Amino acid sequence: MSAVKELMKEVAAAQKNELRRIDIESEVKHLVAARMAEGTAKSRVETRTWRWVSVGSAVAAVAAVVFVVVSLHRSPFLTFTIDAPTHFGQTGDLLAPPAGQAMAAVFSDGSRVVVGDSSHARIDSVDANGAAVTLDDGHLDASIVHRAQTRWVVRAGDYQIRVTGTRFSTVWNRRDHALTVRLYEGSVVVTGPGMAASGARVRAGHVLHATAQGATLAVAEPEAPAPQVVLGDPHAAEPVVEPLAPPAEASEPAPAAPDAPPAVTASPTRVHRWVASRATASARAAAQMSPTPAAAAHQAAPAPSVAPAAPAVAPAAPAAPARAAASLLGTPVPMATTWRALARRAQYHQALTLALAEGFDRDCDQLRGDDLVLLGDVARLGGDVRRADQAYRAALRRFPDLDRPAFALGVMAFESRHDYRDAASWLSRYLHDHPTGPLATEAAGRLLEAWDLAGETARAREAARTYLRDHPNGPHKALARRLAGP
Amino acid sequence: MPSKTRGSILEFRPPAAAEDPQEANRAFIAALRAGDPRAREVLVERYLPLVQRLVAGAMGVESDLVDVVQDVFVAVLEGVHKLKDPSALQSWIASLAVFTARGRIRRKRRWRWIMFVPPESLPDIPVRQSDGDTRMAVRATYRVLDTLPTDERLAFSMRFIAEMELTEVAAACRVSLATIKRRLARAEARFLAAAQESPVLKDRVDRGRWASK
Repeated sequence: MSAVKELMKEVAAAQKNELRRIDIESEVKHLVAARMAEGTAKSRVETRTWRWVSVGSAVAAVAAVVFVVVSLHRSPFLTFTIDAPTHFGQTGDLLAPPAGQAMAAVFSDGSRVVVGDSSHARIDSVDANGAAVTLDDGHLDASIVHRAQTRWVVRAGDYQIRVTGTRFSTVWNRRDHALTVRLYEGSVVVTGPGMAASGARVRAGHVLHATAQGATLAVAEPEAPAPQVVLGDPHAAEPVVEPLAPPAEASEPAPAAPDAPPAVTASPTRVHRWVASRATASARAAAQMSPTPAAAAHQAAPAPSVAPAAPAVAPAAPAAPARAAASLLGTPVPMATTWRALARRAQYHQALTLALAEGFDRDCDQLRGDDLVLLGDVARLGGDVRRADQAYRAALRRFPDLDRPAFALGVMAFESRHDYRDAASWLSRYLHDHPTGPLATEAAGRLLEAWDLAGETARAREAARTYLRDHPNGPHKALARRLAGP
Repeated sequence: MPSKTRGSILEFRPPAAAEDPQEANRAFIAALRAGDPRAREVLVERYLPLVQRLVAGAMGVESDLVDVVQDVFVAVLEGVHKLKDPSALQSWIASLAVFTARGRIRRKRRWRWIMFVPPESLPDIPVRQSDGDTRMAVRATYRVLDTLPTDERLAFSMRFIAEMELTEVAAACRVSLATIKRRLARAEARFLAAAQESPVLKDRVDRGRWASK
């Protein structure tokens, strides 16, 4: 058999092993079903029909790219990716995550829109200053970067949320035509049924709930840990309720529905109770959204029980949209999807997108060691070398006893950047700090590979001899023998 | 009375071993055309190994394997209405897998140029279970394959990595046997030349019949 055929057989065998190791059947079934159900397949056919038109536009596109580069990398229009850093979206794209997952659109200006489990949204249009997004049903979190001309719109039914730079969470219940908007930063103006024509401005820390019968605005959750209103508890601490600014009609008691919202000046407890009862269905969707990593860290712990007669103290998580939405119910709700869960299912791109949306930098400063290394793995396998580097270095700085970060940094330098000297440096550090570490054999093997590929013959030979001495039956023995020489 | 379509959705079940395979295949395709979710699941269960092997052979076990595989199945479900010969289902799926992989490879190449993304910033092929030499060889093999024209690369990888017969490769690529043989010959020559430049592969390909060509 020829050498090349032998090589190909080896490649084929390695690939078969790898395919045996991964199990994608259920994931493929799920994704295929979701795409067929959502009619994405149809739109793909239509996309293909336009392919020739696209080809015709290719020259113009290339010219545009050159123009963009020349124009100091300023894009006249925002671009966005969906779920993966290299999967560029286009207007009309659906954000319809499979059950138990979230889906994020990340825009070129740094803004992010994350759609929760059982929710549907669509990117309607994109221009230089923002985008228009329609939330058909369910839960949407948005983090919009403020710039001079920022102009974003989120539509939900007949409601419009106008944004100039903020972070907020929206739940739209299509069946009940009920909208909930929770602000974390900045402010938005909401217009639509149940409000005056000028709309209502919702500021950070407030929750707006609107239906055709009227609207209520309440302080949803304080920024620091504070008593939280418990459903049905008349003695609970009363948060401050700020009336909706302009709409006089909204402050009138709604006559139509028996469970209509109370006047905005009503007891905040009642406000919360009403929101909870009306928003149960929609908040259920919200509750499925993934929490921030900080919240996820608490996920394994049992949910604190809520005594009906006493105020419950919920850990404040102002940066956790899902928890905030869930807190409308007054009861912590277990979250279905986290970037960790996605990582466990090897969905690294999605996990990375979610981790970025939830605050990667903060996680690097706050996560415990194992999670921080996992975050680095997610970034590395999700294709973001810079973020992976950031996470691993943070882990090494904060948890010097951990062995994985140095090894991972070596692997990354080796495989992603092909900087073999840097790889050798990290791997040497690993072997120095953790000579009997669980990855010592692999690190020693990689070290000799790295020196060899860096062209450092003498160091490669020395590493090979050390390897043969310390790991005579290791997987790199063949290469080590070749490099060690006679 | 339920409609015909609804009836087929309700009535479909995976064929029993004793059934006439052709008849079972026809029923299966009818159920797929009717949009039967169970038939869709059976489709994935039955043909995933084939599709996975072909896509992985063409592209490597990359991070977007799942994306490409699901694209293949969506293409099957979209196009099953046009399938005239039920007995050709498997070869048709193989062909779709090859063409979907080809589209993805070409798109990646286009984006790589347009986006100025250096190849090393793309995710590596995660063959983590194999030993160091094999891992390097796999990685180097796909780097070399990346330099081949797409059609030649596909012919080469289908033949030697997915281990298909020549006739199967020809059918999947929808070209004649003679064409596929020519492509393979060109691909082999290019692979050999490019492998000579690879420090990992050079030693290996210096031996054997290809080196003597």
